Amino acid sequence: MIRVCELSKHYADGTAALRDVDLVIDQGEMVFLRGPSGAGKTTLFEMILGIEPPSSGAVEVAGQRVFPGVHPRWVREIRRRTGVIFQDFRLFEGRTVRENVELGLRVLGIAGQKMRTRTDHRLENVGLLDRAEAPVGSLSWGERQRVGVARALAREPDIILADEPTGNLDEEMSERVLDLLYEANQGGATVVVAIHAPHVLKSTRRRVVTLRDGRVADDSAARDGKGS
Amino acid sequence: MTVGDLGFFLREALAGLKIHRVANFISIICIGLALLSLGLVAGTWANLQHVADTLRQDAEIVVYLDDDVSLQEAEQLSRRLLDHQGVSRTRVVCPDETLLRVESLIGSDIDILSVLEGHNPFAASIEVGVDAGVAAEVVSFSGNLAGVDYIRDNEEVLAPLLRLTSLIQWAGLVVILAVALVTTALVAHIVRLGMSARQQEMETLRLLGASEGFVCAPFVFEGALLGAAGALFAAFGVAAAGGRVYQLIRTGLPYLPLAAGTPLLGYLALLVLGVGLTAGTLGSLVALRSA
Repeated sequence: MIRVCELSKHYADGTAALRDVDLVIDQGEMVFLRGPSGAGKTTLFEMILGIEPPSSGAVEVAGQRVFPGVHPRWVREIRRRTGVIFQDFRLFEGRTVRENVELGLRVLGIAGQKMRTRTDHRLENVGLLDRAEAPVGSLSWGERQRVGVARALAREPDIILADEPTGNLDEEMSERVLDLLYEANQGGATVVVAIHAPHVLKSTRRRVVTLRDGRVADDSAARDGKGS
Repeated sequence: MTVGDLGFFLREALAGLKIHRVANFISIICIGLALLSLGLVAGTWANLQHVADTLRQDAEIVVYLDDDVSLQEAEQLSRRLLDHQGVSRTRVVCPDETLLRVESLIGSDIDILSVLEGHNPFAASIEVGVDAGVAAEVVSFSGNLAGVDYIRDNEEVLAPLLRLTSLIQWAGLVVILAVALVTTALVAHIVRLGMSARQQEMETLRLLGASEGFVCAPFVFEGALLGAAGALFAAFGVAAAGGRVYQLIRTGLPYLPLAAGTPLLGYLALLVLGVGLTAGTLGSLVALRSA
């Protein structure tokens, strides 16, 4: 599903975000990416989404090459099939919680009752249904993060890229969000979660890829294919 | 993008217009004033054209006779004129008919006939249809006939009027171009401001897989709305100012054949709306193209 080959990213100031990263994530797989800040997790996501071009190497998603030789239409198609939980939330300021989730669906051509049903369902999942009409500007960081989660999941994507989805959440809500990601994975979605919560990584039986200084430092296979 | 998205884009455009309310309001007023000047120039041109057309249809020589010329003598003069080369027809208009024509021309707006106290001040006249090439010759010939008081040659009036109409027509085209350019530039500037304020939102939409059409459509609607709002302002201005001017002319110069008021104002409103909408949409496209 996602294939990364000898991927490197060097910035003009000489810093390297990624160095010769090789990674294959199969369809329907759930992978945790861990590593300290600056390890290259977000950069990797940006390349999968066609945002940031690599200095060298290749990225393929669903058998189609994203880099090099990226085609805008294909990049858009990947983005439409992907639910992204951004580290910085990337919410639509000045809009309500509901509008934020609905806009993510409207982009896909989903409107009307279907859009409202999915929105309500996902907002209920993340405990924000009672705040649906609140402007996102009035929300706490944790609540904003949950809006981002609801927006990504409501799209029922083939791929989920979650960049620190629990970073601003308490333990109970973190587990709830992770359960939603596991649930999406069990529904067939390929899920990649960038995370550095030790308790989550310690208890998971899924594959954990460790990035350090832009390299894959460790790649532990899943202990089994199903459980959390 | 589906047809169902149109309502959404319209709401988005309206929301976008609220971001820079004061700047947008001033822009609408400026666009309105530009379109108002266009409407007024077009109205003037339409009326001058109408006057010219009316005179052109009436292109003939009218030979006014002395007061003491009888109808029989008038008929004799008419026959002499008909014998002249290049004269296609002649017709004697008796004083009563002239009076009826004046009544019809003035209509019910002004009751000037009451001051005549039953006396008809008009003399008989002869309408002479001529080939344009020999008009001057026929005028000269008519002038030498006994009993002729005055000869009116429509060409005297028509020629400068046509020159003026042509000038106004060109001026109108220049005004249309200038107004379209001003509106396009204003809208482009305002839409660019809106895009700049919503840059991050546009970027997020792209990251969510939105097509460029989806991302840009609200801005196209925004420009069209700006143009339409300015055009509405101008249309009301044209209706108010045009209606008032029309009424003044009808009262002061009742014999001037003006273009019919209400239909003309309707056409002018359509013209400013069309130019406003087109230039507004064009302005958005310019802004999107240069973004």
